[in-house]
Amino acid sequence: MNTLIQILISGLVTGAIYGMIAIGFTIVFNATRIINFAHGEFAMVGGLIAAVLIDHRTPMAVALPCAILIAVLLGIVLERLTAAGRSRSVLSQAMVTIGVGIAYRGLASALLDKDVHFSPPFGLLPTWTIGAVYIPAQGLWIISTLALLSIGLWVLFNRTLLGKAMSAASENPRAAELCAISPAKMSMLAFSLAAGLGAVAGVEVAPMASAYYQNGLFLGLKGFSAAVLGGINNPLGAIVGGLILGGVENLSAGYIASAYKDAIAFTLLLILLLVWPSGLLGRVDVKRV
Amino acid sequence: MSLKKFTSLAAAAVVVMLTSAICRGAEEIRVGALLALSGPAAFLGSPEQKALRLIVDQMNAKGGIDGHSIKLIVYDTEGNSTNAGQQFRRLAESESVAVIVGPSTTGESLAIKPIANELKVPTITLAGAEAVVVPPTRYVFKTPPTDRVVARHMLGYFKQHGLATIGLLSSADGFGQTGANMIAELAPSYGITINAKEEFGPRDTDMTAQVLKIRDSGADAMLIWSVNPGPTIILRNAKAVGYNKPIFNSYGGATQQLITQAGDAAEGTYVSSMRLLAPEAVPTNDPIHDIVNKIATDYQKKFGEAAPTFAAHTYDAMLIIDAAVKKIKGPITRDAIADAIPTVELPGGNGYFRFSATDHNGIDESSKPMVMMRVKNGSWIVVE
Repeated sequence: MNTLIQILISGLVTGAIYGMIAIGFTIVFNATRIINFAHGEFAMVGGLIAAVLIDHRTPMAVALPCAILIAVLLGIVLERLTAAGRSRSVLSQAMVTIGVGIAYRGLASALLDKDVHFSPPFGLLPTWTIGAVYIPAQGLWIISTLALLSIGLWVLFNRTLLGKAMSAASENPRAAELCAISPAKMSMLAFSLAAGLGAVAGVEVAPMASAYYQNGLFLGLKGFSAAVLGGINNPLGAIVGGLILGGVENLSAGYIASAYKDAIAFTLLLILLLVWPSGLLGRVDVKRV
Repeated sequence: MSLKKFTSLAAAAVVVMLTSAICRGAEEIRVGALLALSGPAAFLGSPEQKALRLIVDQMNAKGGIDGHSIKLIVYDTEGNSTNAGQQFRRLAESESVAVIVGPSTTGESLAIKPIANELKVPTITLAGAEAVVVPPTRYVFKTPPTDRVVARHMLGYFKQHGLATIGLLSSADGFGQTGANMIAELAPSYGITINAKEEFGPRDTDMTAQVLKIRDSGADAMLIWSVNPGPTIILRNAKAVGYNKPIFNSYGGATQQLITQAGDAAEGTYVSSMRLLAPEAVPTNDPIHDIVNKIATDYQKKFGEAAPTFAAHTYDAMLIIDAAVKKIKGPITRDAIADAIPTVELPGGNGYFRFSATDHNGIDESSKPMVMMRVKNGSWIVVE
């Protein structure tokens, strides 16, 4: 029984990481209808810059905000590059994100380094041990950050004018412009927010699972799958998708066969998408003809 | 022909012969190197490069190999097999090297093995897995002890210390999979049962589930077969869940980095390591005693840090190339080098090499290449 609970907690922590990255995909999609394939690189950049700064004896309280800020700037650069193609199709903008993602990975490997870094854990929070089960302190950070973020985002999108404006801008840019909402500004805001959140995820994962310039691919893939599973247009769906993905992976590793855990998780993803094509909590797009 | 024309022709011929004789005497030996200087295998490639440059400089200071100066060309593969393949071709075709040292990892070495044989370039790889040289191919060799030798060392240790059941945790990459298969193949002959055989992805963030499965299988010990960051994460996970059975690492974990990154989670963990991690523990009457200590001392003096075990891989490769070239009577060609290496026997940092047509690694247990070490108070000490 203890093993089951421990595995579920591991799944919760892993799922929280995937969920935090998935949120970035949904925010950008919500505001611009683009799938930002460079999103995994924001997580990588956040973790790697923080780790390198800390290695050079920057205090953590300075290194982490620096890393997040740089990721946000990179997000704005990406947004400006995709904006050039706004008059064209969403597909060409998505292709721009793929290219920029590769460019960011190359910049990271050239300007920073190609080593595997483990940054020091944040500390402050304790490691909870309940009987024979434990929740690692860093895991606790990840889960609480995710909880706070999800509440914050829910409030943003459902209770504030700004959030409504972002959704409006993506649904119907023309109409939004007529209502004094600038789709360009909303797009910039979405990319910055997504980049910042991705960097937060990267920074929190680095002490547990290392920061390394090629991590972006892996994290981006898992985050994207989680976002699609939960519904690409619903931030809550991103979290649910992430938790399910993390949970299934860990349960497969613990109870079926660890060699097949990724295969099982992705097969489940495919089956769920067959039943719910817009994701578990996704909204089906209805267009009036 | 007039006398004037004849004399000038003769003079020209003499000049040409003299210059070619001088040139042949100064003819350099071009050695290419494919090393993982960055990326996840940089902990292998970085000391390998340092040791390689160290010995090449030492050799060139003494006039090179048999009077031929050595020209070293090093490429960074980043631990990536695709890069290794492309760079191998570049070294062979554009840089016209006579022999290649590397690549650093099993995955890359398996990838370039067919290319080496296609382009007919002798290659001394630095890979762990036996599959690189078994079955032997004409142009591919390796210096590190095979995973078979390491596996037998570890299984022998388990048997000697009464650990009858083990839980195996390997990474899903070339190194981990070949190692795991080797252990699975050899365990029954040592009377050891594998209670749990778990895998993890090399980029995975958490291995708690696999650690718990091994714990619940009741195995007497855990064996991790992976390179970093896998062992670091696993040691931390194991400490957190309170895993209290001994944890062993393959030689992929025989690094100082494991201790610095895992911190006190590394305390008490074992590793099967090449002897360079503890040169003072090599008995004085052992034929490799002098060379192991020479590598350790020279490396420490030049780079100000203890030589990681991987430094011996490239150092030995150059010793082998040196011995092979000296045996060649005639022009030094790729084929000549490839056919000379199987006749080489010499003591190296990894063990006593006895190459043959059927053995392109040259090391077996008789030269005791591995030693068991354990982390005590944050450093590696030898255990019996």
